[in-house]
Amino acid sequence: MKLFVDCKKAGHLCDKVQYKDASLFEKLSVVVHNMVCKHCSDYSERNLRLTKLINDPKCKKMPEDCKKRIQQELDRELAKDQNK
Amino acid sequence: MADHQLNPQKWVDKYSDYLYNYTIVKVSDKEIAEDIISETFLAGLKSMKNFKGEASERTWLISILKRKIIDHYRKINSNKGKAEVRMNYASDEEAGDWLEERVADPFDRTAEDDLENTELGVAIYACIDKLPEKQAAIFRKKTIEGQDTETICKEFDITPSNLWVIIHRARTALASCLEENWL
Repeated sequence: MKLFVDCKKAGHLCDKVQYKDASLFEKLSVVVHNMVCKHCSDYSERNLRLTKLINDPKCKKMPEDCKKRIQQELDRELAKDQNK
Repeated sequence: MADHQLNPQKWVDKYSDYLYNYTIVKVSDKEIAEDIISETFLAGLKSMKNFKGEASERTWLISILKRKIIDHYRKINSNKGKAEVRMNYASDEEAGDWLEERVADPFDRTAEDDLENTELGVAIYACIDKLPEKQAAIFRKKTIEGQDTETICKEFDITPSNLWVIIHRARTALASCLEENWL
């Protein structure tokens, strides 16, 4: 594992950070890289804003049990059509 | 030749969250929104033969959804509405326009792809829908459903490196799509 990473790697690590999938060392690599790279620093900021938007309570998600119920209804209807 | 095709097996995966965000701001009730979306999909299934392929699958479903929302308001306002109509309109002939006026305005203002005027949730899911299909599916599972990397990799038979490349591309495209009005 290297502390100094290139832009491509820094970008991927920054994505992992958004999903809390990055290790402490990986997070540190991103911070160090962003200190010397304006492009990646901008990408990280934009990426963080995107994460906040997706996690905003105004962005709703249909409950999983409801999705399952509707999918089952659709599957039943599709099966009926196929049996006709 | 038809440009678009219907794939009802994937409707729930691809459009349920989008339709949910679209509906919830208009009916302000989770359970009603769920019922309306369920009815929309079933109505879509029944009228598949009428789909000409000129509009996208999502646009077509939205047009059915709008009608279902109007039906919902028509139902709950049938009694109350008549009373209001009588108060506000001089004759019975004019009264018929009342419901259309009430629902038409917000729907017309919220053009489906006009992200400037749409709610955040609708805008995000509309942007996800613009991603290539596999990219969108993986992005949804990782980001919206919060599935872990290993599970997604198994399902799509990809390596973790592949997954992060796909996520990176999806996030970059999504950020560009949302840039003007939201980021």
